[in-house]
Amino acid sequence: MDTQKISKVTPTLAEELSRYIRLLAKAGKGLFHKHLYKPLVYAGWERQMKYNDSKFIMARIDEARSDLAKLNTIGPLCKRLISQSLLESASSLGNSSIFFLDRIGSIPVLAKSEEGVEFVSIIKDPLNEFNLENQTKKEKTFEDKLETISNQELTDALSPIELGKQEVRVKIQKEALALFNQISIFSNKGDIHRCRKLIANYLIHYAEQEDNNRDEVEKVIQALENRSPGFALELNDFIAIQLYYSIFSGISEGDLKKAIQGIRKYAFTFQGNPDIKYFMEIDELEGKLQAVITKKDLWKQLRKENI
Amino acid sequence: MEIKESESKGIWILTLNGVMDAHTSPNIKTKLEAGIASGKTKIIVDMKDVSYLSSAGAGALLAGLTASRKKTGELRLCSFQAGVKDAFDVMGFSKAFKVFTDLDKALDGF
Repeated sequence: MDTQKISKVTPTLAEELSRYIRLLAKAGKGLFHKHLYKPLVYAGWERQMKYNDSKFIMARIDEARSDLAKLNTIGPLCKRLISQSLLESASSLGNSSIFFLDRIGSIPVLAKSEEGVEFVSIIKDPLNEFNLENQTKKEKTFEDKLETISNQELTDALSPIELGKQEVRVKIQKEALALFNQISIFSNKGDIHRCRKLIANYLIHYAEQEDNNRDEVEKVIQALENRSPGFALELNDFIAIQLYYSIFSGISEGDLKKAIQGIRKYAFTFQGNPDIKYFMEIDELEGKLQAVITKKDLWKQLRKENI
Repeated sequence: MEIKESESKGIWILTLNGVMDAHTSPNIKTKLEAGIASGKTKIIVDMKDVSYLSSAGAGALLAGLTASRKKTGELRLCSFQAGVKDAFDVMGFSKAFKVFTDLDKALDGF
Protein backbone atom coordinates (compact mmCIF):
# COMPACT_ATOMS: atom_id res chain seq x y z
CA MET A 1 0.00 0.00 0.00
CA ASP A 2 1.28 3.43 -0.92
CA THR A 3 1.51 5.55 2.21
CA GLN A 4 3.82 8.20 0.78
CA LYS A 5 2.95 11.80 1.47
CA ILE A 6 1.65 13.67 -1.52
CA SER A 7 2.13 17.28 -2.49
CA LYS A 8 -0.22 17.30 -5.46
CA VAL A 9 -3.06 15.02 -6.51
CA THR A 10 -2.69 13.60 -10.00
CA PRO A 11 -5.83 13.26 -12.16
CA THR A 12 -5.23 9.51 -12.23
CA LEU A 13 -5.21 9.22 -8.45
CA ALA A 14 -8.37 11.32 -8.23
CA GLU A 15 -10.09 9.12 -10.82
CA GLU A 16 -8.93 5.93 -9.12
CA LEU A 17 -10.25 7.00 -5.72
CA SER A 18 -13.49 8.16 -7.27
CA ARG A 19 -13.96 4.69 -8.82
CA TYR A 20 -13.15 3.00 -5.49
CA ILE A 21 -15.84 5.10 -3.80
CA ARG A 22 -18.35 3.93 -6.42
CA LEU A 23 -17.38 0.32 -5.72
CA LEU A 24 -17.51 1.00 -1.98
CA ALA A 25 -21.05 2.34 -2.33
CA LYS A 26 -22.07 -1.02 -3.79
CA ALA A 27 -20.36 -2.94 -0.98
CA GLY A 28 -22.75 -1.95 1.82
CA LYS A 29 -23.18 0.59 4.58
CA GLY A 30 -20.75 -0.99 7.05
CA LEU A 31 -17.81 -0.88 4.68
CA PHE A 32 -18.75 2.61 3.50
CA HIS A 33 -18.71 3.76 7.11
CA LYS A 34 -15.39 2.09 7.82
CA HIS A 35 -13.47 3.14 4.71
CA LEU A 36 -14.83 6.62 4.02
CA TYR A 37 -16.98 8.10 6.77
CA LYS A 38 -14.84 7.22 9.78
CA PRO A 39 -11.46 8.30 8.36
CA LEU A 40 -12.90 11.75 7.58
CA VAL A 41 -14.56 12.08 10.98
CA TYR A 42 -11.39 10.98 12.78
CA ALA A 43 -9.42 13.53 10.76
CA GLY A 44 -11.69 16.24 12.15
CA TRP A 45 -13.58 17.04 8.96
CA GLU A 46 -17.01 16.73 10.58
CA ARG A 47 -18.49 20.07 11.63
CA GLN A 48 -21.20 20.32 14.23
CA MET A 49 -22.87 23.41 12.73
CA LYS A 50 -25.07 23.00 9.70
CA TYR A 51 -24.24 25.13 6.70
CA ASN A 52 -26.39 25.34 3.63
CA ASP A 53 -27.03 21.93 2.14
CA SER A 54 -24.41 20.13 0.08
CA LYS A 55 -26.16 20.76 -3.28
CA PHE A 56 -26.02 24.49 -2.63
CA ILE A 57 -22.28 24.29 -1.87
CA MET A 58 -21.70 22.29 -5.05
CA ALA A 59 -23.41 25.03 -7.07
CA ARG A 60 -21.21 27.65 -5.40
CA ILE A 61 -18.09 25.65 -6.25
CA ASP A 62 -19.03 25.44 -9.92
CA GLU A 63 -19.80 29.14 -9.92
CA ALA A 64 -16.39 29.92 -8.41
CA ARG A 65 -14.74 27.71 -11.00
CA SER A 66 -15.61 30.06 -13.83
CA ASP A 67 -14.40 33.15 -11.95
CA LEU A 68 -10.61 33.52 -11.84
CA ALA A 69 -10.80 35.73 -8.77
CA LYS A 70 -12.60 32.99 -6.85
CA LEU A 71 -10.42 30.03 -7.85
CA ASN A 72 -8.68 29.95 -4.49
CA THR A 73 -11.98 29.70 -2.66
CA ILE A 74 -12.74 26.33 -4.26
CA GLY A 75 -10.49 24.37 -1.86
CA PRO A 76 -12.13 25.70 1.34
CA LEU A 77 -15.57 25.32 -0.25
CA CYS A 78 -14.86 21.69 -1.11
CA LYS A 79 -13.78 21.04 2.47
CA ARG A 80 -16.99 22.67 3.65
CA LEU A 81 -18.91 20.46 1.23
CA ILE A 82 -17.44 17.29 2.74
CA SER A 83 -18.03 18.55 6.29
CA GLN A 84 -21.64 19.26 5.43
CA SER A 85 -22.21 15.95 3.67
CA LEU A 86 -20.86 14.06 6.70
CA LEU A 87 -23.84 15.46 8.59
CA GLU A 88 -26.35 14.61 5.88
CA SER A 89 -26.22 10.97 4.72
CA ALA A 90 -23.97 8.27 3.32
CA SER A 91 -25.15 8.94 -0.22
CA SER A 92 -24.51 12.65 0.20
CA LEU A 93 -20.98 11.90 1.43
CA GLY A 94 -20.39 9.57 -1.51
CA ASN A 95 -21.67 12.07 -4.05
CA SER A 96 -19.76 14.95 -2.48
CA SER A 97 -16.51 12.98 -2.35
CA ILE A 98 -16.86 12.00 -6.02
CA PHE A 99 -17.69 15.62 -6.86
CA PHE A 100 -14.60 16.84 -4.99
CA LEU A 101 -12.34 14.26 -6.69
CA ASP A 102 -13.76 15.08 -10.10
CA ARG A 103 -13.00 18.77 -9.58
CA ILE A 104 -9.49 17.88 -8.32
CA GLY A 105 -8.96 16.03 -11.60
CA SER A 106 -10.08 18.96 -13.69
CA ILE A 107 -8.96 22.07 -11.76
CA PRO A 108 -5.15 22.15 -11.43
CA VAL A 109 -5.19 24.74 -8.64
CA LEU A 110 -7.45 22.47 -6.56
CA ALA A 111 -5.15 19.49 -7.15
CA LYS A 112 -2.37 21.42 -5.41
CA SER A 113 -4.55 23.03 -2.75
CA GLU A 114 -4.12 22.28 0.94
CA GLU A 115 -7.68 20.95 1.15
CA GLY A 116 -7.38 18.75 -1.95
CA VAL A 117 -4.12 17.20 -0.77
CA GLU A 118 -5.44 16.73 2.79
CA PHE A 119 -8.67 15.13 1.60
CA VAL A 120 -6.85 12.64 -0.61
CA SER A 121 -4.27 11.90 2.09
CA ILE A 122 -7.08 11.01 4.50
CA ILE A 123 -9.07 8.73 2.20
CA LYS A 124 -6.31 7.18 0.07
CA ASP A 125 -5.13 4.41 2.41
CA PRO A 126 -8.56 3.32 3.68
CA LEU A 127 -9.85 3.17 0.10
CA ASN A 128 -6.81 1.24 -1.10
CA GLU A 129 -7.32 -1.16 1.78
CA PHE A 130 -10.98 -1.59 0.81
CA ASN A 131 -10.04 -2.17 -2.80
CA LEU A 132 -7.55 -4.90 -1.97
CA GLU A 133 -10.10 -6.73 0.19
CA ASN A 134 -12.83 -6.21 -2.38
CA GLN A 135 -10.65 -7.41 -5.24
CA THR A 136 -9.87 -10.71 -3.54
CA LYS A 137 -13.55 -11.24 -2.76
CA LYS A 138 -14.70 -10.34 -6.25
CA GLU A 139 -12.12 -12.58 -7.91
CA LYS A 140 -13.63 -15.48 -5.97
CA THR A 141 -17.15 -14.35 -6.96
CA PHE A 142 -16.06 -14.17 -10.58
CA GLU A 143 -14.69 -17.70 -10.43
CA ASP A 144 -17.87 -19.01 -8.79
CA LYS A 145 -20.13 -17.28 -11.29
CA LEU A 146 -18.09 -18.53 -14.23
CA GLU A 147 -18.71 -22.07 -12.98
CA THR A 148 -22.46 -21.61 -13.37
CA ILE A 149 -22.60 -19.50 -16.54
CA SER A 150 -24.33 -21.19 -19.46
CA ASN A 151 -22.40 -21.94 -22.63
CA GLN A 152 -24.64 -19.55 -24.57
CA GLU A 153 -24.03 -16.67 -22.14
CA LEU A 154 -20.29 -17.21 -22.31
CA THR A 155 -20.35 -17.34 -26.10
CA ASP A 156 -22.42 -14.13 -26.23
CA ALA A 157 -20.03 -12.37 -23.87
CA LEU A 158 -17.05 -13.23 -26.03
CA SER A 159 -18.71 -12.57 -29.37
CA PRO A 160 -17.09 -9.81 -31.35
CA ILE A 161 -18.95 -6.78 -32.65
CA GLU A 162 -19.69 -7.07 -36.36
CA LEU A 163 -16.36 -5.77 -37.61
CA GLY A 164 -16.82 -5.73 -41.32
CA LYS A 165 -20.15 -3.98 -41.72
CA GLN A 166 -20.11 -0.82 -43.73
CA GLU A 167 -22.54 1.00 -41.43
CA VAL A 168 -20.31 0.24 -38.43
CA ARG A 169 -17.29 1.68 -40.24
CA VAL A 170 -19.26 4.77 -41.22
CA LYS A 171 -20.39 5.20 -37.61
CA ILE A 172 -16.82 4.96 -36.31
CA GLN A 173 -15.61 7.49 -38.87
CA LYS A 174 -18.34 9.89 -37.79
CA GLU A 175 -17.54 9.37 -34.12
CA ALA A 176 -13.83 9.86 -34.78
CA LEU A 177 -14.51 13.09 -36.61
CA ALA A 178 -16.73 14.32 -33.78
CA LEU A 179 -14.03 13.32 -31.31
CA PHE A 180 -11.30 15.24 -33.12
CA ASN A 181 -13.54 18.33 -33.32
CA GLN A 182 -14.37 18.18 -29.62
CA ILE A 183 -10.74 17.62 -28.68
CA SER A 184 -9.76 20.61 -30.75
CA ILE A 185 -12.34 22.77 -28.91
CA PHE A 186 -11.33 21.61 -25.42
CA SER A 187 -7.63 21.66 -26.23
CA ASN A 188 -7.94 25.29 -27.32
CA LYS A 189 -9.65 26.01 -24.02
CA GLY A 190 -6.77 24.30 -22.20
CA ASP A 191 -9.14 21.67 -20.79
CA ILE A 192 -6.77 18.71 -20.88
CA HIS A 193 -8.91 16.76 -18.43
CA ARG A 194 -11.85 16.79 -20.84
CA CYS A 195 -9.58 15.79 -23.74
CA ARG A 196 -8.33 12.83 -21.71
CA LYS A 197 -11.88 11.71 -20.94
CA LEU A 198 -12.97 12.00 -24.57
CA ILE A 199 -10.06 9.97 -25.91
CA ALA A 200 -10.39 7.36 -23.16
CA ASN A 201 -14.09 6.87 -23.88
CA TYR A 202 -13.44 6.56 -27.60
CA LEU A 203 -10.59 4.08 -27.24
CA ILE A 204 -12.49 1.93 -24.74
CA HIS A 205 -15.63 1.92 -26.87
CA TYR A 206 -13.84 0.94 -30.06
CA ALA A 207 -11.00 -1.11 -28.54
CA GLU A 208 -11.79 -4.25 -30.51
CA GLN A 209 -12.53 -2.59 -33.82
CA GLU A 210 -9.84 -3.14 -36.41
CA ASP A 211 -10.66 0.09 -38.21
CA ASN A 212 -10.75 2.34 -35.16
CA ASN A 213 -8.55 5.19 -36.46
CA ARG A 214 -5.93 4.29 -33.86
CA ASP A 215 -3.10 5.91 -35.84
CA GLU A 216 -4.93 9.25 -36.07
CA VAL A 217 -5.85 9.08 -32.39
CA GLU A 218 -2.19 8.36 -31.55
CA LYS A 219 -1.20 11.53 -33.41
CA VAL A 220 -3.68 13.53 -31.34
CA ILE A 221 -2.33 11.91 -28.16
CA GLN A 222 1.22 12.81 -29.20
CA ALA A 223 0.19 16.42 -29.87
CA LEU A 224 -1.42 16.63 -26.41
CA GLU A 225 1.66 14.97 -24.88
CA ASN A 226 3.86 17.66 -26.44
CA ARG A 227 1.61 20.29 -25.02
CA SER A 228 1.14 18.68 -21.62
CA PRO A 229 3.99 16.24 -20.79
CA GLY A 230 2.76 13.12 -19.05
CA PHE A 231 -0.57 13.19 -20.90
CA ALA A 232 -0.09 9.80 -22.59
CA LEU A 233 0.83 8.05 -19.37
CA GLU A 234 -2.09 9.61 -17.51
CA LEU A 235 -4.38 8.58 -20.36
CA ASN A 236 -3.28 4.94 -20.13
CA ASP A 237 -3.79 4.94 -16.38
CA PHE A 238 -7.16 6.60 -16.85
CA ILE A 239 -8.30 3.93 -19.34
CA ALA A 240 -6.99 1.14 -17.12
CA ILE A 241 -8.92 2.53 -14.14
CA GLN A 242 -12.13 2.76 -16.19
CA LEU A 243 -11.78 -0.82 -17.40
CA TYR A 244 -10.85 -2.13 -13.98
CA TYR A 245 -13.91 -0.42 -12.53
CA SER A 246 -16.10 -1.79 -15.30
CA ILE A 247 -14.83 -5.34 -14.72
CA PHE A 248 -15.27 -5.25 -10.96
CA SER A 249 -18.63 -3.48 -11.02
CA GLY A 250 -19.74 -6.10 -13.58
CA ILE A 251 -18.77 -8.81 -11.10
CA SER A 252 -20.53 -6.98 -8.23
CA GLU A 253 -23.71 -6.63 -10.27
CA GLY A 254 -23.60 -10.25 -11.45
CA ASP A 255 -23.11 -8.97 -15.00
CA LEU A 256 -20.46 -11.36 -16.26
CA LYS A 257 -20.78 -10.14 -19.82
CA LYS A 258 -19.67 -6.69 -18.73
CA ALA A 259 -16.75 -8.21 -16.80
CA ILE A 260 -15.61 -10.44 -19.64
CA GLN A 261 -15.87 -7.66 -22.21
CA GLY A 262 -13.82 -5.44 -19.91
CA ILE A 263 -11.07 -8.07 -19.80
CA ARG A 264 -11.10 -8.32 -23.58
CA LYS A 265 -11.02 -4.56 -24.02
CA TYR A 266 -8.07 -4.32 -21.63
CA ALA A 267 -6.20 -6.94 -23.66
CA PHE A 268 -6.86 -5.21 -26.96
CA THR A 269 -6.06 -1.76 -25.65
CA PHE A 270 -2.81 -2.47 -23.84
CA GLN A 271 -1.50 -5.52 -25.66
CA GLY A 272 0.56 -6.96 -22.87
CA ASN A 273 2.21 -3.78 -21.64
CA PRO A 274 3.36 -4.67 -18.09
CA ASP A 275 3.70 -1.01 -17.11
CA ILE A 276 -0.03 -0.42 -17.25
CA LYS A 277 -2.05 -0.32 -14.05
CA TYR A 278 -3.77 -3.56 -12.96
CA PHE A 279 -1.72 -5.66 -15.41
CA MET A 280 -1.37 -8.53 -12.94
CA GLU A 281 -4.89 -8.32 -11.52
CA ILE A 282 -6.59 -8.48 -14.88
CA ASP A 283 -4.29 -11.26 -16.10
CA GLU A 284 -5.35 -13.24 -13.04
CA LEU A 285 -9.03 -12.85 -13.99
CA GLU A 286 -8.29 -13.82 -17.58
CA GLY A 287 -6.59 -16.97 -16.30
CA LYS A 288 -9.79 -17.94 -14.48
CA LEU A 289 -11.85 -17.18 -17.58
CA GLN A 290 -9.64 -19.31 -19.84
CA ALA A 291 -9.68 -22.17 -17.34
CA VAL A 292 -13.50 -22.25 -17.41
CA ILE A 293 -13.62 -22.11 -21.20
CA THR A 294 -11.19 -25.03 -21.33
CA LYS A 295 -13.15 -26.97 -18.72
CA LYS A 296 -16.41 -26.45 -20.64
CA ASP A 297 -14.60 -27.32 -23.86
CA LEU A 298 -15.83 -24.17 -25.58
CA TRP A 299 -12.74 -22.97 -27.45
CA LYS A 300 -13.74 -24.49 -30.77
CA GLN A 301 -17.21 -22.94 -30.63
CA LEU A 302 -15.86 -19.53 -29.63
CA ARG A 303 -13.23 -19.69 -32.34
CA LYS A 304 -15.94 -20.28 -34.95
CA GLU A 305 -17.84 -17.22 -33.72
CA ASN A 306 -14.78 -15.01 -33.64
CA ILE A 307 -13.15 -15.74 -36.97
CA MET B 1 9.37 -19.93 -18.79
CA GLU B 2 12.33 -21.31 -20.67
CA ILE B 3 13.57 -19.53 -23.81
CA LYS B 4 15.94 -21.38 -26.19
CA GLU B 5 17.69 -19.46 -28.95
CA SER B 6 19.03 -20.69 -32.25
CA GLU B 7 19.70 -19.34 -35.71
CA SER B 8 19.01 -20.66 -39.18
CA LYS B 9 19.75 -18.84 -42.46
CA GLY B 10 20.06 -15.52 -40.62
CA ILE B 11 16.74 -15.98 -38.88
CA TRP B 12 16.59 -15.76 -35.11
CA ILE B 13 14.51 -18.60 -33.68
CA LEU B 14 13.16 -18.50 -30.17
CA THR B 15 11.66 -21.68 -28.78
CA LEU B 16 9.48 -21.03 -25.77
CA ASN B 17 8.58 -23.57 -23.13
CA GLY B 18 6.00 -23.13 -20.39
CA VAL B 19 3.30 -20.66 -19.52
CA MET B 20 3.06 -17.20 -21.10
CA ASP B 21 1.20 -14.86 -18.77
CA ALA B 22 1.70 -11.57 -16.95
CA HIS B 23 4.48 -13.10 -14.84
CA THR B 24 6.57 -14.47 -17.69
CA SER B 25 5.75 -12.24 -20.67
CA PRO B 26 7.80 -9.18 -19.59
CA ASN B 27 10.97 -11.35 -19.90
CA ILE B 28 10.02 -12.46 -23.38
CA LYS B 29 9.20 -8.90 -24.37
CA THR B 30 12.56 -7.67 -23.07
CA LYS B 31 14.38 -10.51 -24.85
CA LEU B 32 12.66 -9.72 -28.15
CA GLU B 33 13.25 -5.99 -27.89
CA ALA B 34 16.94 -6.45 -27.03
CA GLY B 35 17.44 -8.85 -29.93
CA ILE B 36 15.68 -6.55 -32.38
CA ALA B 37 17.72 -3.58 -31.15
CA SER B 38 20.89 -5.59 -31.88
CA GLY B 39 19.73 -6.22 -35.45
CA LYS B 40 17.94 -9.57 -35.21
CA THR B 41 14.84 -8.44 -37.03
CA LYS B 42 13.80 -11.67 -38.76
CA ILE B 43 12.33 -13.76 -36.03
CA ILE B 44 10.41 -16.97 -35.61
CA VAL B 45 8.85 -17.79 -32.27
CA ASP B 46 8.26 -21.50 -31.92
CA MET B 47 5.25 -22.02 -29.67
CA LYS B 48 5.17 -25.82 -29.60
CA ASP B 49 5.94 -26.10 -25.88
CA VAL B 50 3.77 -23.19 -24.73
CA SER B 51 0.95 -24.68 -22.69
CA TYR B 52 -0.93 -21.47 -21.78
CA LEU B 53 -1.10 -18.04 -23.34
CA SER B 54 -2.88 -15.05 -21.86
CA SER B 55 -3.44 -11.66 -23.47
CA ALA B 56 -0.35 -10.41 -21.66
CA GLY B 57 1.72 -13.10 -23.39
CA ALA B 58 0.16 -12.41 -26.77
CA GLY B 59 0.79 -8.71 -26.21
CA ALA B 60 4.50 -9.37 -25.67
CA LEU B 61 4.63 -11.11 -29.04
CA LEU B 62 2.72 -8.25 -30.61
CA ALA B 63 5.23 -5.77 -29.20
CA GLY B 64 7.99 -7.85 -30.81
CA LEU B 65 6.13 -7.86 -34.13
CA THR B 66 5.69 -4.07 -34.05
CA ALA B 67 9.36 -3.48 -33.16
CA SER B 68 10.63 -5.82 -35.88
CA ARG B 69 8.39 -4.25 -38.53
CA LYS B 70 9.70 -0.81 -37.63
CA LYS B 71 13.10 -2.15 -38.72
CA THR B 72 11.60 -3.74 -41.84
CA GLY B 73 11.75 -7.17 -40.25
CA GLU B 74 9.09 -9.71 -39.42
CA LEU B 75 8.05 -11.94 -36.55
CA ARG B 76 6.41 -15.21 -37.39
CA LEU B 77 4.81 -17.74 -35.10
CA CYS B 78 4.68 -21.48 -35.53
CA SER B 79 3.70 -24.84 -34.05
CA PHE B 80 0.94 -23.76 -31.68
CA GLN B 81 -0.71 -26.40 -29.51
CA ALA B 82 -4.37 -26.63 -30.55
CA GLY B 83 -5.92 -25.22 -27.35
CA VAL B 84 -3.43 -22.37 -27.18
CA LYS B 85 -4.06 -21.47 -30.82
CA ASP B 86 -7.82 -21.39 -30.18
CA ALA B 87 -7.33 -18.95 -27.30
CA PHE B 88 -4.99 -16.85 -29.43
CA ASP B 89 -7.61 -16.69 -32.19
CA VAL B 90 -10.51 -15.92 -29.85
CA MET B 91 -8.55 -13.05 -28.29
CA GLY B 92 -8.23 -11.66 -31.79
CA PHE B 93 -4.43 -11.54 -31.94
CA SER B 94 -3.91 -14.01 -34.76
CA LYS B 95 -5.01 -11.51 -37.41
CA ALA B 96 -1.85 -9.50 -36.78
CA PHE B 97 0.63 -12.37 -37.28
CA LYS B 98 1.73 -14.83 -39.89
CA VAL B 99 1.14 -18.16 -38.20
CA PHE B 100 2.54 -21.47 -39.51
CA THR B 101 1.86 -25.05 -38.57
CA ASP B 102 5.56 -25.94 -38.16
CA LEU B 103 9.04 -24.44 -38.12
CA ASP B 104 9.98 -25.54 -41.65
CA LYS B 105 6.95 -23.80 -43.11
CA ALA B 106 7.74 -20.65 -41.11
CA LEU B 107 11.32 -20.69 -42.44
CA ASP B 108 10.14 -21.13 -46.04
CA GLY B 109 10.39 -17.92 -48.02
CA PHE B 110 11.41 -15.77 -45.06
